[in-house]
Amino acid sequence: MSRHTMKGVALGAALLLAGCDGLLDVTNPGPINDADLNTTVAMPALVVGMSADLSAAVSTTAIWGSLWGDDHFHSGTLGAPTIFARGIIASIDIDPWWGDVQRARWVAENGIERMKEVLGTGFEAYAQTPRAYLHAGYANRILGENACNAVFDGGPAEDNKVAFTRAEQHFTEALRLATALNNTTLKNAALAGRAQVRTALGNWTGAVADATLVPIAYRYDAQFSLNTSREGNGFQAVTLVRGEYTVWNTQWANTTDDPRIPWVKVLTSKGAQAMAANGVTPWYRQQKYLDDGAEIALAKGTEMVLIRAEAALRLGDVGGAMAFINQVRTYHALSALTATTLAEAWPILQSERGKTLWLEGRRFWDLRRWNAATGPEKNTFLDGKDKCVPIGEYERLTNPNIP
Amino acid sequence: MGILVRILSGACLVAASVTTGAAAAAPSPLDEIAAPAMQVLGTITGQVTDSRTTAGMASVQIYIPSTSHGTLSNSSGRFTIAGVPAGTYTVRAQLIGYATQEQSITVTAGQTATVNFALGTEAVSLDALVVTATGEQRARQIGNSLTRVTSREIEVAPARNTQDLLMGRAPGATVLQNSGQPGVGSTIILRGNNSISQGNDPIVYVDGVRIFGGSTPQHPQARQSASPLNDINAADIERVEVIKGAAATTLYGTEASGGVIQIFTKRGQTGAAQWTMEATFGANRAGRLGTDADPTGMWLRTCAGPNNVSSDGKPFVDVTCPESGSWLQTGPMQQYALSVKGGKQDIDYYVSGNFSDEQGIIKDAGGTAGGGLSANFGFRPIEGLDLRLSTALTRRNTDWLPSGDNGDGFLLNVSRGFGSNFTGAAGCDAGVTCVQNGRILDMTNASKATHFITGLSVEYKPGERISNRFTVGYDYNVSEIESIRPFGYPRYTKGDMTDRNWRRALLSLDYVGTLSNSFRNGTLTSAFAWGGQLFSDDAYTLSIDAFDFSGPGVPTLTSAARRDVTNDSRLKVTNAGFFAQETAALNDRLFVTVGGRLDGNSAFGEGFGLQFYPKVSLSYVVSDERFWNWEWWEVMKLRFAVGESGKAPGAFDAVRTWTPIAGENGQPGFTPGQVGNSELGPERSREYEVGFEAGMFGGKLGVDVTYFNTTTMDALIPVRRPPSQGFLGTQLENVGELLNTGFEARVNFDILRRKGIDWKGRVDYSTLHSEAVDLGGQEITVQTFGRTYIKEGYPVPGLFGLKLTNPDEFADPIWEENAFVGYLYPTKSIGLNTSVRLMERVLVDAVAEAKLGGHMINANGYQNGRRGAWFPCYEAQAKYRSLSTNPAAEADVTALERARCALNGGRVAPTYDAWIESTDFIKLRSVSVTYDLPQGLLPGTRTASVQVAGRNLWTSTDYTGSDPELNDYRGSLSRRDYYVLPTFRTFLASVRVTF
Repeated sequence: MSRHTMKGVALGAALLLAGCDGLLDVTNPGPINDADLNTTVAMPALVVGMSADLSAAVSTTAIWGSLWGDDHFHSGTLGAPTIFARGIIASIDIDPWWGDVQRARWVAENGIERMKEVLGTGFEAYAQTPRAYLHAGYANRILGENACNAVFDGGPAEDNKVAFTRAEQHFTEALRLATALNNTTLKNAALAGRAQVRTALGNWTGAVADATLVPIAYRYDAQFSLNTSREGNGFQAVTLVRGEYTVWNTQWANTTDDPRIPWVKVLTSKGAQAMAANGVTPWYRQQKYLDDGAEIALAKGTEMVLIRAEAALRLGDVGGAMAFINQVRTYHALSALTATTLAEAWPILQSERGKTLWLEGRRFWDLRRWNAATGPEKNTFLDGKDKCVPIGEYERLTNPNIP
Repeated sequence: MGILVRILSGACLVAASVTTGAAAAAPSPLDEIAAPAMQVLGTITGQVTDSRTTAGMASVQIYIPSTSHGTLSNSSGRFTIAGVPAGTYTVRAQLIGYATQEQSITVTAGQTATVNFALGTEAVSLDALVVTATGEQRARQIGNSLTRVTSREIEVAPARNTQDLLMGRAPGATVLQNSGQPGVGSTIILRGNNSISQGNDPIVYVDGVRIFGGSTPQHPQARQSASPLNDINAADIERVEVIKGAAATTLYGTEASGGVIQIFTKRGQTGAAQWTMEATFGANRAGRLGTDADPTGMWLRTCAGPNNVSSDGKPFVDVTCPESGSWLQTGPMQQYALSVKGGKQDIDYYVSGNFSDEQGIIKDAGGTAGGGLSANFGFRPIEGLDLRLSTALTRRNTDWLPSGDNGDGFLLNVSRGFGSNFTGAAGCDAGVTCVQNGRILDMTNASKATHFITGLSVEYKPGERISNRFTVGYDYNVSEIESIRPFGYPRYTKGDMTDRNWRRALLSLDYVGTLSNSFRNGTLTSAFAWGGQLFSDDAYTLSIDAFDFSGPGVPTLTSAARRDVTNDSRLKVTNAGFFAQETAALNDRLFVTVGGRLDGNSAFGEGFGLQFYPKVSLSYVVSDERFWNWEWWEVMKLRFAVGESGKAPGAFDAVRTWTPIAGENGQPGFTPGQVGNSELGPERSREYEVGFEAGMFGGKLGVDVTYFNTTTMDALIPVRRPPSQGFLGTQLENVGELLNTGFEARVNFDILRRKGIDWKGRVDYSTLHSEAVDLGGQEITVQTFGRTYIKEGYPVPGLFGLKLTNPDEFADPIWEENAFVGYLYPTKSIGLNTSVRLMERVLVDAVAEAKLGGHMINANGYQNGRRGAWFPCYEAQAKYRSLSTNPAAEADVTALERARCALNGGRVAPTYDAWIESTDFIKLRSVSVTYDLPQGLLPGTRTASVQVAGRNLWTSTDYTGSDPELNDYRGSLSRRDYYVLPTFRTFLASVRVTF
């Protein structure tokens, strides 16, 4: 009896499984296998991915960096910014920034290696290749400007200037390939990026040489859009909808007539000053990025002119520097400024750079390098405050090369 | 055999999977039924009474073992079993809590035979049938602990659902309510967290059909989830069995290490149709709203008046505060259930329908309404063949209130008073902050859920020694979760919308065969079971956000200028396993069970293949031995069990992937997804369990004690890679080891038992020690702002952060950094239950529960305190403000008060850590008084009863937040009280009539 029954059960089970084709299938559509990217048709999307991850890094840097660099004052309740507001930038608080920047850098540099492998001899002539190098260059520039130490691919902590050197190499490659492709836009982006990192490396001659070649009206942006929430610049939620950040109590709170620093006071229906998210801080709302689709500049011709101005000041050429500064002001339809001494000119230059680059995630680096100086460019804002971003907590915990 | 045999032989051919050729090979069971079928049948009738009180006993199982003849006694204890072939039988009467009785009776053709039972109480029911992975077994055979919520408890419990039923009634089970929103699902943890990454939800069976045991996706504004488990109406539940640890869940396979909850719904019984109608009316009212130091109840209880001031005395007005001056309301609730059950000789049925509508405690906001139909049919076409079809369909619409860590959250804004995000309204005097929190209610936050469960079970017993059961089940959940901020909404004037469609379909196929044998005249018996299961889980989620409506009106997704598909997940996982188990018994008192399960799962890495989970258990009814001479100690059963179970990683966790994204204004791109781990396998929980069950003093005292020790090996730990290597997410690795140990005890006792009064009590007590033994050297951050981490040597999870070392000193706070502050979840539970039956007609039942040892952050206090909007801090903050004129003002302010009441920008920096609090509480979970009306009082009825009851009537706690069992971190191992609506009281009156 039992033997017959067992046979029956086995037969029944077999029939059941055979009749339900696909019952054992397992599916998870959506994610893409790593190996599937090793095809030429995947290369455009690979480069767009680099751009998207770079934009994410720019967004985080511009928002958090606005607190580090006095572009914004903290007026909210979110955890990490509350700590930043006290001048403290701790490993445990900056993992999102560290992750975004490292991902942008790794995706671009790893992607370039994948492109070389997949495209072979066609790599250099491929139209997207200069863009890939630009993404790698700008990601390294952001790392170098903000981080205390650079870390690459699970390696040890290195001087942050290593990131600038790496960026310079990427920009140089981008410039060479964009020139070969006769792509002026990308060529200017490479020149502008290289000028930025050359100033950071102290190569002012090289920086001026590159900067001079970039038109004043040129700008190269990190791409943002309202297409998907991931593509947004992130400013809308924390500055427009919710007052996590305010212009009140910053170096710009008294600047009301400069188109580079657009902000408004938020008022109650009775006309009184409205408080921001923490309920106690006046809410001055930035108006530079009116929605999440607004682009954030990675490099601008106006900055190039100011690089030339700063280079002139470093050579003691106050007149030349002021001419460059006023070239930028004229471009923005602002009246000219005057200075006759280095002591007068340096604050003007620092202010003009701050206004020109407001909320673009650049001020912290400027304050950091000017704070480290001993000459007339000395800036004291960061005295008593953390002056760079430490290695992220996750990196410290997981990277065996970080003691 | 004639015509009947031929027809049934044809049926056998159809059911080829169980009996091909069997009829010719052995004496056919059909012979056994065919002969009496041609005879005239007889009837058995009688009554079951309580041996002490002589009262009739309802819901007693009366049946003839090894046949399909049986029924349940009615409310007066009477029963009738019709259609019994003439012959001599043993009739058994069985009810949990009472000693099983058997009587012999002879049925004569065309006659009615009468047999009566007088059952005596039994503190430990060794012969009660419990359902295991291999089918029904007598309790004496089981080597592990098992908790039952019986039909009697369910009848008196004013519970809406299974989760309510388990509160305070299952030692070792932690059931936390999460929120005071109608429709919200609770969190259930059995014996602690055995998994860090794979969830700790028990798996759930309803009438043998596996259903989804987790929660629906969170509502994006309410930040809370519903639980499909709660779709089963309490009125349809016959009993619930809770199997808590791996030692008992081995045969349920991978995913069962979080325990198993089995729900058995009501079935029909032989006899005329019996209708039951139940109508319940009630009201939800606010209970505890934070501490007594806040006269406004976080400005929920009063939203207008002289207390609408900040701590520095600045007034504010909420121009949308209701005329009553309070945001609270008495939320009405109504619930109706109608069922009919009955059956004939070979058919039984139970069909029911229900509808309920419940409103929350916030005025004109939040509520849930829905209903369902269920049917349970049994059919026995031939002797030995039992078909059972169970089907239930439920639909429920829930209106949610924005809640939790959410800028639109109702409690967040109301309790911040002047600091609401909805400032700027017109209508206030100069110098007065004007808020309009009522505008939050302009939003639409809804979920519409449909839940369908169906299962067909075919059980064939070709003889007394062998049985086969095949079950096919399908559980189908659909939920549309919607949130709309309309055009003109204050915080986003263009309006936006989120629509999330979720579907979860589970298909399960189970087969169990059993073969029993006896040797040496029955002194040695064997029960061998074998079987297999295939379980397929198909999950689908589509989320779309839409922004910027063109104008007012009720929008759809296409009304918006922009749309963003934020999630499109379609995941299908299959698990298949086979098991075998042998239970050998000596003299029906010593039982040794050895078994194992072989499992395959689609998520296992290539190197793992099939997984084997073994189990061994021992049960020894030592009181049945001759040497057991203590008459006062009637029952003593010793138990020991060891077994393993597992949790599978997610599908494709083994593979390195990239995630498609958009960049550069809608161009396709990729970003790093998952690192991948080709060596991935399941984590494995091994549990030792030892205990005993004792019954003493004539059934007046019962004790059930268990110690368990569960080690989770190869624990799946989310391991981070250095971010500089590009992949920012975590990757599961089998690197950890977790330990959970604990002690569970249940004591049942008669307090007073004499004619006219039957007073019983029950005390449950359980403890839990949890430890992360090995995490591969890393620490796991669960929630930074919940201060929740998992660290080696500490509980899973623990609260870590700044620990105040001088709380009672009159000084500024001194902190110990990176300190272990305490367990997150409770470590000790006490359940108290008492029931008194008076004069046979009145039953009073109460359940209280204490949960001790847990901690949580009162983020309401932190966020409001630092803004000067937390009443308990007003006094301390006033002293701080007066320091400039009175340097001694703070002399009597303790360090704890200074830490908690620190203002933004003040001398002492506000910190979450100051608000980590003990969540110890005692709650009166339910009280009910039921009165059975005299028969005949209502013409046309069989029985009638009325009940008044209450839920969550009283809370005692030192916790200063709104409620100690709330959670804003649903779906996470962490929990946090962050502007979650507190639980509420419910008052109920109901009528139940059978006719």
